Amino acid sequence: MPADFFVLLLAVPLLPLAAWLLQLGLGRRRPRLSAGLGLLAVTASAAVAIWLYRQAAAAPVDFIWSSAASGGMSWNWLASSGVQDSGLGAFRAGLRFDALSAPLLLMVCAVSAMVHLYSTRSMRGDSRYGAYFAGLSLFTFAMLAMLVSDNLLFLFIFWELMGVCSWFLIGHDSFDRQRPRQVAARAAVKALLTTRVGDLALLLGIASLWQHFGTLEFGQLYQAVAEARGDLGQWPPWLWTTGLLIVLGALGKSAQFPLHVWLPDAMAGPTPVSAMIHAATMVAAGVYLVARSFPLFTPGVLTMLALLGAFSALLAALMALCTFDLKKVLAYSTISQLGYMIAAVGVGSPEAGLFHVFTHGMFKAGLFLGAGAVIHACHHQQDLRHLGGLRRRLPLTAITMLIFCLAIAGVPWLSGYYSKDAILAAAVAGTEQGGLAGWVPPIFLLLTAALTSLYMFRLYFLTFAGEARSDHAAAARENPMAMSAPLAVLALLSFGGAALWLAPPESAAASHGIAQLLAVIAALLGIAVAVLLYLLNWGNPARIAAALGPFYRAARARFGIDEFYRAVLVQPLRGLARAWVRFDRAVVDRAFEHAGRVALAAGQRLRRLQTGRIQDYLYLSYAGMLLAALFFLGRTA
Amino acid sequence: MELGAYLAVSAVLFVLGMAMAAARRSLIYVLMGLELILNAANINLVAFARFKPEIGLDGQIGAIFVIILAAAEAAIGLAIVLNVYSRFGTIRPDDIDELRQ
Repeated sequence: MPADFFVLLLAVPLLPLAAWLLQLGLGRRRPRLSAGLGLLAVTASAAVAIWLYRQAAAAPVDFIWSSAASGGMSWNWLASSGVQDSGLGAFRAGLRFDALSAPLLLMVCAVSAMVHLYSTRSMRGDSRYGAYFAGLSLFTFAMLAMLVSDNLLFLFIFWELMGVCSWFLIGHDSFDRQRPRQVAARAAVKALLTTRVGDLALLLGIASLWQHFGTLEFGQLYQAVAEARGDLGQWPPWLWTTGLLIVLGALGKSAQFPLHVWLPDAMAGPTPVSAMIHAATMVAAGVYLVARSFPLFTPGVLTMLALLGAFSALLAALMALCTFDLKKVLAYSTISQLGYMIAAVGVGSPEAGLFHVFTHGMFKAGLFLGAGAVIHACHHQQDLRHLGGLRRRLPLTAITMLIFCLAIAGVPWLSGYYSKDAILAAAVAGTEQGGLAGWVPPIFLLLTAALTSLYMFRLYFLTFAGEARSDHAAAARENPMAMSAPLAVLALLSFGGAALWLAPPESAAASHGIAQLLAVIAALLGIAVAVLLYLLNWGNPARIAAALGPFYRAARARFGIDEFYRAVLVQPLRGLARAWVRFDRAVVDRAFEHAGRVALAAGQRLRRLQTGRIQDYLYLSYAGMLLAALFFLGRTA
Repeated sequence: MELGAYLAVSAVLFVLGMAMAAARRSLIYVLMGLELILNAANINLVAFARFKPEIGLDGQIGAIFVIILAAAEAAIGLAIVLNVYSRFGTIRPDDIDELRQ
């Protein structure tokens, strides 16, 4: 590949970065210009990404263009003689582009551009309009840069940058001078700290790989693992722990059990930010990491990945079913869908996992922007019990939301159908290994598929069908074009987006038909139940909930996981912190204060020497001269 | 005359200068005291140059340097005294003690 190609590849992340640098200076004084710049930069990135995508589409499916291998655009990083002397060579960083990253770059740019466009209108009147767009630009840059990095260290750097940006954007409302929102601040800190647990594990995992292999470049890592396996005739035993650490990092970022608690709270951020986090950036990074690290995972790690993903998918689907907050239902659905992707990697099909990242990004961004449109039109009413009847008042939002719901439910010929189908086929193929670990993922995922269409259509019918259940919902009016146009574009992509995927996962021929059938049945079953309960009102959901009793209450209370963490981690840590503060005040501070007091008292005594009169000082210097003279006389004598 | 006589005069002059700089109650006299100290040093330099031929011209050159230095010192010193007077309205060193905390 010519060097020009990599220049363009580098331009995709660098354009939003340039916008961010300009926005830093402009943000406060020229907020509108700053928003325009962000939109312009990400649109330009999207244009470049489309060109790159066309190059990728013309190449064979298994192509890998690495800038290091082609001899251009790679840099020695932190090159010091010390590193070279250690025999490991300098750390080389470069760019990588293949059939997996091409569509993802396209998706991230498209979603980010739509979020930018939508935000220009929905964030209008915000006191920190400029800063908000600067945050979006940096966020986009971090995700795009992560996708083009050819090594784990740079992936980690941009991964962390995304963590910071998410803190900044989730907490956006808490920075408002006039009316700071404490909820947003707490949610932002929770997101940052929870993902930090995973990040630490990931850093340890990367360090372990560097220690054993002396490289972090993906291609070399895959080769090194293959060689290590060849030499030993088995997986290197340490790789098990390393894989586990990397998985833990992904669990934090992708909000999977047991590190999923931050994502529902992150709804405290502005809705377009949620669209960004849930679709294009942040959570997608976790799946991307495990998909890229797939060749490094031992069978044990993969099994765990499959089980955790399937479990998270089911758990979050149950929680989504019992939630009345419009945005939180979507948040749980994100956890659930990410569970699918993680499980896909676990059952041995990272391509299917990334395929779902790709399609999910489009319809989930649409769902969040649609939810934002509803909330915007209904004056911040986001309780499903107080919405309803909006299909007449918000026709465009209703139609696009219907498409997104059908897509996420996996109804045939919409994009979600193809990717979900690929995952289920891989999971069903996994049952051939037998055992509990083989059967649990497909069963859980099928259950989740049914639940997904149930809770999505519950949301849809409660929002758009029936009669308005509050004054705000009754008075809603369709939003301006800048907010509706992104919905239309994303709806279009949710229809045909699946066709843009470049590396169709090999369908396991035997299981494919069965998986397809089961998936469609599950999706339709869920929709049918939703139609019965929430459209035709045949059953009373409240009575069903009451009949389920403790189980329903547990799901409402998020299965007590947040409380468990509070009791086991947060409270003891707080106690420890308080004890430490007391020790700090009583011992450390006291010691320093005492030292200061001694110095002060000594100074008070000695200050009498300082009269301020020059002649007194002169006498003192005479005394000094005398002493010096005596000293020299003594020496000569 | 002996070298010792020159050194004696120089020593007396030096001590007088020191006493003057330390004890007089006017900054002008303090400056004059400093001049005495410098000139005491000059006498020493020239006397040694005269009685120890192996030094060559070093003594005289040293003395000329000190004279130049003294001229500069006097100029700066008097300027300081002028400034002190306009700032404090006095040139009694005892009254100027703002350096005290």
